[in-house]
Amino acid sequence: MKISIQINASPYQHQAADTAWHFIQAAIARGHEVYRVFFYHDGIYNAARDARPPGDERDIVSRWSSLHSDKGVDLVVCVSSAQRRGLLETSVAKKVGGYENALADGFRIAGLGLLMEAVIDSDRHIIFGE
Amino acid sequence: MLYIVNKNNDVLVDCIERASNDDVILLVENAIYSAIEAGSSVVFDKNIPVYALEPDMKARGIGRKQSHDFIQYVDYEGFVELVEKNNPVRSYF
Repeated sequence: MKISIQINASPYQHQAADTAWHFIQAAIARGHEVYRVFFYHDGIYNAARDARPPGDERDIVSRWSSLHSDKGVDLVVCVSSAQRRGLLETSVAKKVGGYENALADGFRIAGLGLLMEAVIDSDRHIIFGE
Repeated sequence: MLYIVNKNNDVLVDCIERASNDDVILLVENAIYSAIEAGSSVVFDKNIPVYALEPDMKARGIGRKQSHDFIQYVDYEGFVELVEKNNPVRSYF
């Protein structure tokens, strides 16, 4: 089964990123394909490259990056949500003189078209957050 | 339809009113607190199956003995099974 995920809440503040993460692990273990994780609203903070949680805590951002590198899961950050919050794509950052390295490895920035595509092309679409 | 509820407030009450007998409700995150029998103000509809995500119960120190007897328990694998069996899935915020 093809499953897509949407995360609407920031990590550490809200449990959404953790619930989604555990769900994804279980879904992959049961043989499902996680087609895309779409980070929306405050969920974009899951992609903040410079997040540095204490060493004895889970590293949520790195965990997502590993999901992309190990399992090939498409990690998409909503462009409008990200720009509103100062998380800029490199090309945009260059243009406006912003921070060019904001996005962690494995994430890409795109519009709501990719969210709609995920909803349409997946057998299930599950939203975590609020 | 699988309803996923993550808050212990009026949203759950609204969800119970809206759900039909063919639906299933899964309590996750802070919605787990509504599974506690004592002092719960939420009135469940016994015709609608209610599941609770047990890892979230454990994280909040809530055991099965404290919960309503009609509640069924799932781990994350069981969560995935509920998603397999029910379509669509609606997160009820």
